[in-house]
Amino acid sequence: MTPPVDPPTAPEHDDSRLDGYTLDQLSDYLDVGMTPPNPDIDSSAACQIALTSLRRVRAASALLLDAEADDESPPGDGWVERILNAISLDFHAGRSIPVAHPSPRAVITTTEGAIRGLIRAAGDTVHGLLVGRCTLDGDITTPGAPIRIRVDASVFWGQQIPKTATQLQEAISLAMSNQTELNVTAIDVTVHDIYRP
Amino acid sequence: MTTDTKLDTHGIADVVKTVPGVTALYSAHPTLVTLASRALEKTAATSIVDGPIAATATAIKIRIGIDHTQSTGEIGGAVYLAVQNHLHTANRQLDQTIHIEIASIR
Repeated sequence: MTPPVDPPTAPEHDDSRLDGYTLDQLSDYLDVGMTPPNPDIDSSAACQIALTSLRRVRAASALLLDAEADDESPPGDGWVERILNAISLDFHAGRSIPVAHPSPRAVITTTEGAIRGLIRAAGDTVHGLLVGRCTLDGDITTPGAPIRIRVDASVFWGQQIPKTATQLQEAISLAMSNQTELNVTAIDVTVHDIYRP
Repeated sequence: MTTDTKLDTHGIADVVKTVPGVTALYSAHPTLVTLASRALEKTAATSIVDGPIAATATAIKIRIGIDHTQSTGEIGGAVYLAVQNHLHTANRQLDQTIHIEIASIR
């Protein structure tokens, strides 16, 4: 059976790879419908987060292609590459965020990468926007420490930017308060791109 | 070392998978302190150890993915309780720390 992607070859410390795989390899894996299954990718949290983001960007790209259907100029995919390049480092596990538990024998943590995935998922609930790079500023390894979330976003043409940014802030705030114990004191949204069909 | 001083992570993995809100089990492996055991820890870092683990393990690390239905604390706590109950049911008297790492939220 021929594997859908080449096996990892890079050293573990290569930050451009996710458990040994590049974004291009993961994109190829999506292209072949994730079959035959690759156990290394399927059991890697970083790869799974990256695959989710790839699906998200592809879905947004498809929306833009639909909007551009009547446009004479061919749609470029440079913006997709820019977004993926910007967020590629965000898929790594990063720092460990403690989750409170009364038992001294229980150590529960959430990875920084998982929280960034949660932020992007919150972005999915806001129409006409795609979340790019996310950063968590502050000592997230200390319970209760103030955390500032910084998010880069791309907005589709026709969206009211202040309103869309506010909706994103609210969605992220809700997700953080419902699902984490982080003390989020600020959420900064920077709109870097507007995509016009 | 007798069988009673060993722990089967395969059973733990099965238990973790049944906890509501858990969407993925990325790994379940022991964290050991001896140099000889570090190789095992490294080998097991991305896989589920299927079989007995010596009681010299100081901790058991479980990496999971969860969904949006509950908070990280609720699901992480439920996983801890499920593992603890599993150990008690098996009459294990081990005192390892159970480290639950939530590696993805979808």
